[in-house]
Parts: sequence; structure tokens; C-alpha cells
Amino acid sequence: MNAASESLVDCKQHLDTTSSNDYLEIYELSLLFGATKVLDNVTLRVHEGETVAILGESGCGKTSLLRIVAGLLVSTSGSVRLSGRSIDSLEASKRGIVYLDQDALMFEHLTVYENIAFALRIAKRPSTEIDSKVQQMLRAVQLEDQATKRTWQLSGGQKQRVAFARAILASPRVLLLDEPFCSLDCRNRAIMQQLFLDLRQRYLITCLFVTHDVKEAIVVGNRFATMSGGILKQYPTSLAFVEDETTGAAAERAFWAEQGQIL
Amino acid sequence: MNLKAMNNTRLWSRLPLFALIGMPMAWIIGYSLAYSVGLIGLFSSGFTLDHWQSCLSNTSAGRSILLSISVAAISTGIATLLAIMTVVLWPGCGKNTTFLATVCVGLGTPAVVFALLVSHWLGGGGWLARLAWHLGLIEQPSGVFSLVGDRFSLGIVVAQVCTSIPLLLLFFSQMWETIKGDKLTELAATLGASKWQIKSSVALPILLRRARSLILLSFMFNLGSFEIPLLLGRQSPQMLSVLTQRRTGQFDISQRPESFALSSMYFLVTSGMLILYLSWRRISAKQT
Amino acid sequence: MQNKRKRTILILVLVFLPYASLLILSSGSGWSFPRLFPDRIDFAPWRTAWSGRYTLLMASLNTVVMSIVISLASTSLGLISGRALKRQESMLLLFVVYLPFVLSPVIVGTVLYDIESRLGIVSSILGVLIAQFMFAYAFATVFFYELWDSRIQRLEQLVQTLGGDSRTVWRHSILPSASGLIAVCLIQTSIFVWLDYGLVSALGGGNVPTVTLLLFSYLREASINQASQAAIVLLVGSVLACLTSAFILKRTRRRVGEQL
Repeated sequence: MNAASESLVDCKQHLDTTSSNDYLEIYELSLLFGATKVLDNVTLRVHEGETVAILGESGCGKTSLLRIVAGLLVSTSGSVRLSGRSIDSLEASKRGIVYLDQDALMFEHLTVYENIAFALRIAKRPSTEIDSKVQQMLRAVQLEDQATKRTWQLSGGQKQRVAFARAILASPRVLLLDEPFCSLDCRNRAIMQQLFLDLRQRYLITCLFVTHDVKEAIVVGNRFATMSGGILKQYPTSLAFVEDETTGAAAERAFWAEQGQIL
Repeated sequence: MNLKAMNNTRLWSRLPLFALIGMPMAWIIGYSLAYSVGLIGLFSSGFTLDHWQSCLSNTSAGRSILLSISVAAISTGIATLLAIMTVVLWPGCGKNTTFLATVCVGLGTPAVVFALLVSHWLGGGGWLARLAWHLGLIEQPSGVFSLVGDRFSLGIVVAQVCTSIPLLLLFFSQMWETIKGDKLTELAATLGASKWQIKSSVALPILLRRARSLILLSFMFNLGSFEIPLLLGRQSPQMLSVLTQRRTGQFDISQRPESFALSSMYFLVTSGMLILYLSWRRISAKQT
Repeated sequence: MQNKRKRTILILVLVFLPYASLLILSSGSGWSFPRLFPDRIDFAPWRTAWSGRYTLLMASLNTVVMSIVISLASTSLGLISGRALKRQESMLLLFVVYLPFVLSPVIVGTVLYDIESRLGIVSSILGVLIAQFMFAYAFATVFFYELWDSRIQRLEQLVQTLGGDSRTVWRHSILPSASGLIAVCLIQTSIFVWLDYGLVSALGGGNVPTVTLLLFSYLREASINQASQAAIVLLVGSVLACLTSAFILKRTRRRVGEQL
């Protein structure tokens, strides 16, 4: 492991030991589709401002977990609590939890500006407030000169930035990201990961980040978990995550170490 | 294949289009125009706009044009509204087999059959009138407002709505899948939008924007409709297609230039709308 | 769930009741007010379908033959033109092709009457067929242009890179891949002729017996039972064609999906 990634792990270990109050609690969540157990007694606690990276292959239940938390799917049993209060009976529009997936869906009838302002317009905020927040966000995501454009004129990476900006301006209590960068090329992916880290720090976002990329999980996560067959396995430290053979992190580390030697 | 050979191939493959559609259409429209301005015809006496002026100042022709445009616009508007509301209120309809089969039956029903059904059910002495009589609500057939030859052309509107709605329903239901409407709805919900806000601020504007070309096409079809106004329309004013056909078939040959002026007007207006339709389609293709 | 089923049944009954009324009216004679059903249920229209000069059977057969001729000719040419248009789009060509698609056949027919009478083919089946062909050919071109799959294009290029000439391209990529579309286009163009009234009435001069012409003549004679019968014949052909087209398109898409 090189010096940069060592310091990254140290930083994450430091965060682990300074956890604040539980903010999002997922308590013994189960989901059955017929006879198939999609989620099996999933329990997870996320602290405020923390990002939990959840790694898992396709069909392991990660998306179902996020959709239940967002209120888009009803669990068979278990509960979800936010700041100590159950949100099970709340509909999606009232939870303050924004769900983004890899599609970067745009409201094509709106300009980039209006897409980003969507949640504020829905909440009927004053125009001056909307304008100032949207302009600030456009600068943060480096899309100032795209404000008046239609979303179909944007590239994939730009659409993801708009999606992020729109989600953050909704002031979400929790942000759920379901493989948001998987359709981007390497370069744009790296840019988006950095943008996510910057925005997370600036706006203190609590986040569940689902990915199937080990490297991405290490980059974006403060804590780590893996999902397989509906069962969530959490790691007490990031070192434990990296050293676990089943996560693939070790293999990844070995590969880069070898590349480092060759180069 | 070299460039010359490629160009030759392109020319040959396009020749039938020009020869079998382009030239006949040019001939038809040119003939109509030429006849209407007095360049050809039995009583032609050189270029004149008298027939056009006469046609436009003629009350019945003017009313016919106005009637045709209004009826086509109202029918298209109602059909669009009903189709879009169905899909917005029932987004999963595109996957429902019963719904699709019913739409298919509607699509396969000819315009003349819809006109006949309106006449059978909603005409004077139709099923509705008979039911009303048996229920003691009326004493004679004229007690029920007949939709055949009615003053407001409601019968034509009802039949044209029936012919337009299946295609629009099919389009909107399939479009809902294409734009990932379910996912957009979920996204808007997590951003705090209520059910009503999702329908009015997200679903409706996106669907309408995507459908504008089809709505225009539907309007053009309704404007040129013949069987429905023939069966259900009044004697005066008549819809454009019926009036044109009746005038051309009249024994008074001196009326022919005016009827050609009417058909020329129709060709020009429809061509203009077609150009608009093709440009909208081109823009939509770039956007998707 | 039961309420949902009851609601579905009610909606279906309301939608299909008008069609059932056509069947009821065609099964009898007369329909005097205020009777809900025909005066006599004697299936007279169906029994007399093949007597008289212009019978429904003769008109149906004539229309079927016209449909087959037009559909074969227009689909074959439409396939070539639609493909050519897709490969090299041109606003002018699109305008030319769409024009008959959007214009009212009867208004075009009234102008064509003069032209055809100068050519001596008006009030004949040839005059009607020529006009119907123009519309059907335009429809077929638009059909293939709109529904031409990029996958078919890629298959063509594959055959070419494997050394195939244009005959091979047609035989091994275009015709097999577009077979579903061809079948649907054949059905749709034949339906256009089956349902056409505007051109037949404007150019046929009453000499070209078709089902639609017969329907309108029954209506002029106030023969409501026979008009309903003619409407059912029109409807059955048209709805069957529509359902068959939908089935073929669905099967084609599923097959493409499986291959992908």
C-alpha cells in the first residue's frame, strides 16, 4: 500500500472512532418477494455526515435496501428511523431522503437551471433565495455556462452533476446513491468522485453509497459494508475492509502495488 | 463501391419516390392551383384571383373552413386530453394486456364504423332515444338531442375523438416507458413533490412536449376527415372535404374554379403544417 | 381485487357494447321506433349477402383482390424507398413522401378526377388502383422509414464486410431481419384499400364495387340492417389485421431482444 492510500485509511480510522449520534437507523429490515429473501435482517446505523459505502454484486439486495429507506418500497418487516423517529409510515415526498441512481434522470422540459431549482420551486421558496442558491450550486458543480441549456444538450458527466446539484439543493437529510457513476468513463468518474467528496464536506451530507467498484468504495466511504444474498456485513474499521479477501480490496491493492513496481 | 457508383445507386433508389409520388402530387397540386387561378379549365381566361376572392368572400366556403378547423382542433384537443389523463392517472396501462387489446380494437375500427355507431346510438331514434322512451323520459324520438346533423357538429367531434384516441393512448402509454416515467415519478417524490405536483409539473409537460408532432398529425387527419362529416355533418356549413367533393361533382361547371380554389387552399395549409411537423420531428430526434 | 375486476368488466362491457349493437342490428330486418331490437330476427342481411347485382360477397372479394394487388406492389417498392430514405435523409424527400400520408384522399381524388378523365381512366378500376397505389406506396415508405432498425443496417454492413454483394445483402440480412415489418406493412397497406371510400367514390364512378361503397349506398337507402352488416364485415377485417400486426410486431421485438 503506498503512502497516499495509507494516509487515506488512517483518516478513515480516525473518523470511525469519533462517531456522533446515530442519525439513520435501519433496524432488522427484511424483504420477501414470494419465497425469495431479498433482504435478511439488515441492521445499519449511520452517523450524521457519514458516508457508508456498500459493496455488492448485482441482485444482492442493495437497490432494494435503498428503495425501502427512500420510501419507494415497503419492507416485509423491520423499521427505518431518522434522528430517533420512525419514518416507516411517511411517504417518499415527506422523508427528506433523496434517491439517485445511475440513470441521471433529467426533467427534459426544464433547463439546467430549472432542474437544479426543482426542489426549491416545489417547496415554494422565494425567487431571490432560489436564484442565489442555484447560482452557488452551478459554480460548485462547474456548470455556470450551461444554466440556460436544455438537458439533452449535456454529456453524461454533466447530467450527473446536474442530478447531484438538484439533489443537494433539496437539503436531503440522507442522500442515497445507487451506483451513480457506473455509466461514466474513468476520467469523468474520477471527477465526479472528487466533486462528491467536496460537496459532502461542504454540505455535511449523510450518505449511503452503493457501488460494485472497490476502489470507488474506498475513495468515497467513511465506513464500509458488503452485501451478499440480502445479508449485510459491516466492517468495524476500514483496515478490516481492505484486508478482507472477499471484498476484493486486497486483490486491488496487490494489483496496484505490482503496477507501481513495474512503472 | 466508389463515390460515382454510390451516387448512381442513390439516384436509382430515389427515382420511384419522385416518379410515383413526387411527380403525381406536383401535378395534382399544380393542376388545382392552375385551375383555381384561371390558367387552365373550360372557362379559363388567363391569370385571375377572382375565383379565390369569390371563394373566400363566399359565406358558405368561409364558414366551412372555419367549421373544419374548429371541429378538428376541438376533437384533437379532447382526444389528447383524455389520452394523456389516462396515462398520467394510470401510468402502468402500457403493460396491461386488456388495455392494449382494447386500444388495438379501437385502432382497427374504421372511421366510418365510428360514425355509424354514433348515428346508431346518439342519433334521433337511436339506442339512447329508445332507452329513454322505454324509461318514460321522452315521448318521441326528437325528445333526445340528436348528434346527427346537429348544429354544433358534436356528432362529428365524438366520432373524431373515438378515431384519434386509440393512437394517442398507444403513443402516450409507450412514451411513458421510453421516458422512464416511473423512475422520474420516484425521483420527483424523493425531491419533495406531491402526487399532484408530479403529475402537473413533471408527467404532463414532458408527455405533451414529446407528443406535439403526433398531436399536429392527428389534427391534420381530423381536418381532412371525410366519412365522418359525410355521415354526421349538417347540410350547411359542411366540412371542407365534403364541400369540396360536392362542389366538384356539381353540374354547374362554372363553380369548378372555386372548388379548385378551395382544394388549393387545403393543400397549401396542409403542406405548411407538414413542414412544421417535419421540423418538430427533426428537433425531437436530436433531443432523444 | 374483486372491485378492480368488476370495474374492468364494466369498462369492457361499455366499450364493446356499441360493437355488439351492430351485430344485433345485422341479425334482423327493420328497426322501427321504439323497439330496442330489430323488428324480426331473421338474419335476412346474411342470407341475402350473395344475391343481387352488387352483393356484399362480391364487393368483399373485389376489395380483397384490390387490397392484395396494392399491398404487394406498394410494400415491395416501399421497402426499397423507405430503406433508401433512412440511409440518406432529405427534408425534401420526406416532405414528398409524407404529403399523400397527410392529405385527405377525397380532396386529392376530386382533383385527380379531372386528370384521370383526360387520360381516359376515370370511373374504372385502373383509375382507382393508380390513386390507391400512390397513397399506399407513400404509407409503405413512411412505415419502413420510421421503423427501420439500426440493427438491420449493421447486419447489412456485416454481410458486406464478409464479401457479400447487394443480392446477398438482401437475401441474408434485409429480408430475414425485416420479415416482420414486411408482413405488417402488407397487412396495413391492404387495410388502407379495404377501408378506402374517398378515392373509390371520387374516381370509381360507382363502377368499382367495394364494401365501403356498399355501406354508404345502404345508408342512403336507409337499410340500417344491411349497413350494420357491411360495417361488421369492414370491422372484422380491420380489427383482425390490427391484432395480427400487433402480434407480429411484438414477436419480432421479442426475437430481437433475445438475439441481443
